[in-house]
Amino acid sequence: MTKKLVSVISFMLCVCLFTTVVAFASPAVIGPDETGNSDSLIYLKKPTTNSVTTTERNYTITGAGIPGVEVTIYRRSVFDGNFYRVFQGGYMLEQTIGASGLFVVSIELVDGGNTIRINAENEIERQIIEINITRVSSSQIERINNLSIGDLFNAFQ
Amino acid sequence: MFSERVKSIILSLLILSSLLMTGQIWFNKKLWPDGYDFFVIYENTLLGKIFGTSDNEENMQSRDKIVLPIKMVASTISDFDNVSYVLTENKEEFNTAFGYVREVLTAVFNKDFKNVITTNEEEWQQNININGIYIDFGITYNTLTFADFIDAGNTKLVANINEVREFVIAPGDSVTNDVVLFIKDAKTGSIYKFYSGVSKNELTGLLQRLAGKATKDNNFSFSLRADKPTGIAGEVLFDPYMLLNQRTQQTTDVISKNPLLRGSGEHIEFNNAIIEKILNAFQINSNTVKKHMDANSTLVYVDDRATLKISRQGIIEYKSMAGARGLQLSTAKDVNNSVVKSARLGADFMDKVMRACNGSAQGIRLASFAKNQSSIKLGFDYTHEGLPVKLENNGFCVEIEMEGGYLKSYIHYIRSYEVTSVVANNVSTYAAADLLYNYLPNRQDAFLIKDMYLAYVDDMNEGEKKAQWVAKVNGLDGFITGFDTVK
Repeated sequence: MTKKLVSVISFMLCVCLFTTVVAFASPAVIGPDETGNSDSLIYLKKPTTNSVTTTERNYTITGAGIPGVEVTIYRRSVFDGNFYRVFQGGYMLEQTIGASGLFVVSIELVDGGNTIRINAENEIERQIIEINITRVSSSQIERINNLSIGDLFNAFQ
Repeated sequence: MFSERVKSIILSLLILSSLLMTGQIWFNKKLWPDGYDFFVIYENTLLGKIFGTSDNEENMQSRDKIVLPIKMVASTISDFDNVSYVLTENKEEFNTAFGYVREVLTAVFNKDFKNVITTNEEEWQQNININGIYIDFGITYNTLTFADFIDAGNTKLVANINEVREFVIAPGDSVTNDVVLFIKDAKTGSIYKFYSGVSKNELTGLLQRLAGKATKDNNFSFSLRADKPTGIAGEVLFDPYMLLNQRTQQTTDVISKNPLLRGSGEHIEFNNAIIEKILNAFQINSNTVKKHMDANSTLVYVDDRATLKISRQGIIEYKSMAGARGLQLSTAKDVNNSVVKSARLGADFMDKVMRACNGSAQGIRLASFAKNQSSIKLGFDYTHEGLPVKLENNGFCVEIEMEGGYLKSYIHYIRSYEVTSVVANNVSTYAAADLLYNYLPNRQDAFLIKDMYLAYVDDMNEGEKKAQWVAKVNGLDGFITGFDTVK
């Protein structure tokens, strides 16, 4: 009887422990259709729009939010369309917003399109912001900038 | 006979050179233990001056340090990323970089531009962030005064630019081989663009060399938009030109010593030889001056011109009597009308006092400059290991008031700083901002951090000092410290 009681209590404790852990940890994967239930946990400062183009290899995302909110960065997989947590240098790109309210995360970009999701959550609310960062090489930018009227005319001949 | 004469001459020359070299070692390198006063007594005599060098060239630099940047950051592109390198005085490239900056500044300030080009904040920030050198002198100068300090006193720029403090130099485009200087008018905020006429080859070479040492860790606040509010209550904003570092930074502890005292334990006393040298520097005759020791064990000397106090904490305080002109540092008549000459005299005198006290710091830099009708006031801070030394009471390490060629008042906190082998890790700028926020009383409105940096904070006690974060917050006087050491 005692043994049964101990095992039931242990089982209950494990359930409580694991659910607690699961409740506070960000998910490993976010589906493409998942949404949050808040739009006021964080506000992005950089980028200023949801779609940007850059030549930088490492792009710094900054924002402000409520202290204690956990911010995690996800990148969309080209294979299945899901969003997976990003690891860089052995560390997950995750940060808990401190008292100053600022969060800063640098993500290494791949050439071309990078669809990123910023997942912000605390115990009761969750917010997901999606941004698209297109990385172009500097030589491509130079070609675009150096196009002249003559080039355009030649293109139509 | 002839050979004997040659031998005698050579022998005489060898003996003379050995005497001179010995004098150098004795009087210049000071290879005697503390408190052994024999050679000190003769150091300033005629013999000491002949066989020694009374002015070490390294110590004659204070006048050049009147105009030194508090922030100089070189930015460029490396491996497709914007990288930056902070040039502090302890970095080997500092002198080369600042020498080049001065060359460009002088070229532009001396030039007569027919058309003055204005530009916008975007171009200014682009050049700071991508490919250029940003320079902040920390003090807002009247344009003419600044031009005087860099020996470009007849500048025509004063017609357009009222006050200066921040500059950016950047390589010009592929068409010109020029270096562009951007000047921001500190009074109006207008930004001007000048083609200096200086070849950009040296600048591009310098930026390429620095790219190897530059990192992504330091970012200007504006590049991260950390200066832009989002509307969240109690939000922390950072001045747009503040550097934010994501990583922990290593600093070395220093030991602060008071060279005015000698001995240890219960036998600590003033070093009489140094006191004598200080009195000489202030042209006070120790035999005729009225002297006493006050209740705080401060030495007080009073003559008909001024009062000189020397405290056991290492503070020298000189004040001219009401109605008296003060200590004459120069008889030249043009000093009265020249802010630059007056300031340089003050800086030279500061060097003299430092040498008299055997004080030493790796650097000393002008931190405050104010001019009223008849006098100028200079405030200097020590620097060590590239970091400023701030006094806990928010004062300057040296405060000088000059009226023409006369020293009106002088306050100098004498210290020697030595590097230890103890290395400390300091939290990142962001973590420091979190600590600062928790340290200050609760704020409902957004508050702006004007500046935040690592510095050695001296509480005026001898001993080991660690680098700490210090912050300047908009609306609060002075700087705030201690918030990163609160447990």
